[in-house]
Amino acid sequence: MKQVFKFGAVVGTLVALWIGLLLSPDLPQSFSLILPFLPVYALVALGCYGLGMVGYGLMVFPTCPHESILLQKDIDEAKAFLKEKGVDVAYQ
Amino acid sequence: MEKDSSPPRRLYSILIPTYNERLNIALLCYLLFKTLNDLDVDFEVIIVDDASPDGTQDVIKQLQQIYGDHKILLRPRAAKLGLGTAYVHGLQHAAGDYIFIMDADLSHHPKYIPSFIRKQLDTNADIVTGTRYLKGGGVHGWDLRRKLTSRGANVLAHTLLWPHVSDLTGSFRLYRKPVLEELVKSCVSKGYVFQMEMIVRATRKGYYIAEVPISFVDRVYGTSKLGGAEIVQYLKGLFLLFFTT
Amino acid sequence: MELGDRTVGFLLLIFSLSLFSYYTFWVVITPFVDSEHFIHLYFPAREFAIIIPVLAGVLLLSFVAIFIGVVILRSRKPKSKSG
Ligand SMILES: [Mg+2]
Repeated sequence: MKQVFKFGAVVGTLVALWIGLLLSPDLPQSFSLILPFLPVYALVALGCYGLGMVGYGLMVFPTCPHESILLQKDIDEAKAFLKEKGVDVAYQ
Repeated sequence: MEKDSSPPRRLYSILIPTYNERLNIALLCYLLFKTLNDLDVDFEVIIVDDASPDGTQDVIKQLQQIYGDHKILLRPRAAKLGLGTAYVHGLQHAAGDYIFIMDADLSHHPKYIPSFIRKQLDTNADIVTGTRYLKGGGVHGWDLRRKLTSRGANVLAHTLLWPHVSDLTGSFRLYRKPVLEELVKSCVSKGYVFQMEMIVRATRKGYYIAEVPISFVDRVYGTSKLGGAEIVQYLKGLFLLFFTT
Repeated sequence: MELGDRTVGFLLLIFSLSLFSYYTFWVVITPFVDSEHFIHLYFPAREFAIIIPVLAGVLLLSFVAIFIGVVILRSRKPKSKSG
């Protein structure tokens, strides 16, 4: 099944549930105060989730400063070897 | 253990597309041979150069003098034709049943190759992909803007596509040859979006994908670009995958 | 630098969590509070709980559209010169 349809199925189910609730006759008063807001509420929640995940990802972003030092050592070693072998690698 | 019961030795082909990587390819080859000669595995390095004007091919010919032209295979093309076709071209000349792909720009260090091989042997995976974002991996050399873009892109892709892979645009991977051949045929994106398309289509086809942590040091020599055009390309790729996979 | 980036991430996370809590409170809890209560001073009228997010969404979408448009136009120009 294509991703659009999987995604659509999830959204469709939620919308169907919402409409079902809207149309059901015997809702408590408190429900009907909140129900109309639910779709927008879901979108706001999704937006906040996305923003929060980006923030969290940035917060725990894995970095490796040590690796760049190791790489520099390897580069020096490689350059020495290439020089010894007479390989000309300088950019022209 | 008897000699006869040991499995036949595997050949790994390491596929490296290059464009203007005169210095990097020489450094990379040194590190590749240093790592792999210690490992005692059979391997060949296949370099697909897209007619670099900077003399990358001359350097590769000099490297062939050192390491042998049965170990380093130069398979150039006449013009800059893009990543997907570079893999197709390289694959035609690859003798190995297992294919490594990696960048020429030294952002991928050959020292991780053993962990890819071990992971593949342990899990019998179809694809082993290097991830920068799991425990043990990491990135060096990105500024805030680059990190933000990357995290945003990841959240977007995971929300829309639900892949089961943490690092979609990484391009340090080990494929079974038939799997790579099959995937390359069905992928149309350009640039690094191609890597995302490959891995997402692989998950949809039901291939088994294992991940190993790698560190990624952004290129030391040359520039890596991430501007508006790359972002739009990425969005295009996302929607393509959203509607076609 | 390193720490600065992490701080930005932390602030983003805090911001999105507070936004979500505020909005939840606004939509789900305020209707049940007596209309004389001081809490209503901190929340706009409830219609805005629909209007503001919709407006923000439209703004975001148009920003993305403009961004894509600009990038495409820019990438066309060099080609049209050469061709
Ligand atoms: Mg790279």
